[in-house]
Amino acid sequence: MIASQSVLRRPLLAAVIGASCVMPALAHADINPNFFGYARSGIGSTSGGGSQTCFKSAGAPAKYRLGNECETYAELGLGAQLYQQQDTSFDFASRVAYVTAQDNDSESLQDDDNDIALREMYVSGTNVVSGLSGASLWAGKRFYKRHDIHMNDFYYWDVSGPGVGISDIDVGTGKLSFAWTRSSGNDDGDGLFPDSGQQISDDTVDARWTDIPVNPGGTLQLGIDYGRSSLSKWQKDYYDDQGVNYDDGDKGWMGTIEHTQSDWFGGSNTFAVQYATDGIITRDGNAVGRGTGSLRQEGSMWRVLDSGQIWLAPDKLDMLYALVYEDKDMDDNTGRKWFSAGVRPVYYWSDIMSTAVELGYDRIEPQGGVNGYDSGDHHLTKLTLAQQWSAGRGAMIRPTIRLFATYAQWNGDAYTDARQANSLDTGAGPNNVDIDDNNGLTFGAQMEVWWGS
Amino acid sequence: MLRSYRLIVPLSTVLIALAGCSTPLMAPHSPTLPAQEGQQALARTTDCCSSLASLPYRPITAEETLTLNFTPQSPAHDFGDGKSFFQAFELPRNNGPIALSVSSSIRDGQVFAPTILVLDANFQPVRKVSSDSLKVRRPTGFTAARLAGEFSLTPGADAQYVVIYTSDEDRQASTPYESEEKAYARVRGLAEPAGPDPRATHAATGEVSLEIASLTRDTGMAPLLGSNPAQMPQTSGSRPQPSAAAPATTTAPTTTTNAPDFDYRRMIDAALKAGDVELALDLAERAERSGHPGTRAWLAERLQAKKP
Repeated sequence: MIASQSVLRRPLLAAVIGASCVMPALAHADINPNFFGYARSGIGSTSGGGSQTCFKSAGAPAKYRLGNECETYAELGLGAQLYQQQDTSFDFASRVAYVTAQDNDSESLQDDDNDIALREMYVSGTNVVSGLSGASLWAGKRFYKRHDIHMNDFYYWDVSGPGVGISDIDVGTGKLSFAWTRSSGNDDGDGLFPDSGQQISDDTVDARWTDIPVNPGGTLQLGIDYGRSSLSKWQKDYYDDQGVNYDDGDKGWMGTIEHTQSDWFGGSNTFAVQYATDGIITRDGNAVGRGTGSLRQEGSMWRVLDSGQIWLAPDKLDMLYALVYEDKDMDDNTGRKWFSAGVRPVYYWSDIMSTAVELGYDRIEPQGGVNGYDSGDHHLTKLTLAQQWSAGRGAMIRPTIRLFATYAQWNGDAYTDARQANSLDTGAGPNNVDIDDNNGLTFGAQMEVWWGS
Repeated sequence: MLRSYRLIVPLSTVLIALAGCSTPLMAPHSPTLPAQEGQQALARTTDCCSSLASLPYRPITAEETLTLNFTPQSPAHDFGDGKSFFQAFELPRNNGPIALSVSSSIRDGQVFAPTILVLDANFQPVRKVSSDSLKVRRPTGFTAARLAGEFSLTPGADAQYVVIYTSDEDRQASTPYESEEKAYARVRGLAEPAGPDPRATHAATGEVSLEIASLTRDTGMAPLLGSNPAQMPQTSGSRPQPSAAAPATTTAPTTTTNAPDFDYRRMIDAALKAGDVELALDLAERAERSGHPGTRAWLAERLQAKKP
């Protein structure tokens, strides 16, 4: 832009400018480290005593998260653009995720609820394949084009893992992406497998056609995932000897059609329909479109989702909303139907302070073969009131510090006599409501932040 | 464990560096005046001054960071390319070259797109940097999306005053920027939200951060210029790549940081050959200060010789 700008491209000067900090630190160093991440943490209690209970309907893959998260979770990432010449560039990214039960000052990884996980370690090269302008070739572990609903932290399309792929090939109408990723799992059977350390590697092939313009402000994306357990010869021999039929259960596919509408009441709306079969579904937990390591899981799943953000009054009142219907029909009757709906209106008193209300409802209808939680229909409603202080207005603006109170009610006993899951999931945090309670109240404070250059 | 331990050093370095940035940038700011109201306020404001010479100039030092508020209360003047609210400064004399960094945050879908006008001692414009040469920086979670740029100049008779305003042309344009949702998706590894980027309206009012930094402070200036000579315009006309990442293949020899015998004259020759008089002058200034007396005079001769 200006001739003498080149004088500024000197590492040490960068350090001087960085230290005084009008520009991001190190902005002019030869390697420009990119520090990015996400974190949430806080403190909470259950009314009546004990630390914060988090309310999640047993059998549901998700819960509404405002004032209803009991753990400290963080992702810290470091990356850099390592090469750039004309349009060609190579970028490196890494990410480590941390989770602790937020019980203590020092929380050891030896404790059950605490973990450090290496989530990303990959390099992508943009414009490195001649003839594929704008496309990125990548390899390594990564979060791969994950699709989620923010307000209940529900990931519905996520084939992340170690992999290789080429993404965003411009085909004139939209872009094509292909990936091969890996997720290993344990056999889902009856303990027949001789060595639980010998996991079954599952391969997923993912193909997507994204950014297809279909209407003003609207785009469509289509995706298909095929996953299968890649059994080694000795594993096959073993299962053949045991008379295990893994012909269908070891593989499956999932199709996704998703429409995103921008210019939607000041925000956007996303509508998706998914269908999945056999080995790519998980009985419990969440089907995200990748192989699961199971061999004997047969059935099908339908899922319809609609979520988004709208402004009800410009700069004053916005709202997140989500709607999910999922029907897992397993051949051995271990599936369930899940219906979920939630809204989170937020009123902004100023650029900094806001009041948020989140109302969420989850209903589970298990199939006859379900055990492990209340096998009757059960449902949970939660309502949270939170006062928030954030770095601006809008649903995705962080950092945020919030004070919250959360009330939840459900039908049926919370837990079994052995304090196992009944109507409430036991894995979402401390279980500090009584066994036969039908409602609970929690309160506390939480911060949430994300960043990255 | 070992690997995560190794991460700690770079991580904590970056954390400390970022800690310096986060606090002031996240401080509360005044509500944004809607672009239309700002434009109407500008239309109502009378021209404060009959000429560039009569603008209210405010002296600044060579080491200063200013937050400039362009509000309906600010003075306005017609700069020939449109009337605008402005702020005017007198640059420090006898201080050697300085770097000016401007940064204008996008707030509530609008931004003040500044033009930077440099005047000589006789209040004649000598250089104009319009907003289209500023770069859009994406939001980071610590800072909003913003327009930013930097350039250096040597205050003196040929560059004595700086005026920041926004021209009609600046205001007619708009700036596409990355939404918070898209930034969030990027840092969380989510699929990029579909749909076009939002565009920030260029408003008549707003807030600009201006940082002035001396390029000739004693602290480690010599290595700065000597550390990467390959980025200097040695070949005719070719510009150094504006990328932050230097290609790994460049021939740049990593010179010793203290380069006492840094070849200023060769560099100045190269700059002149590339037609970059500004850079040549800066280099001569630098040379004088790091113990190469006579370089300025030598450059003056070179410049004389070049003229017909």
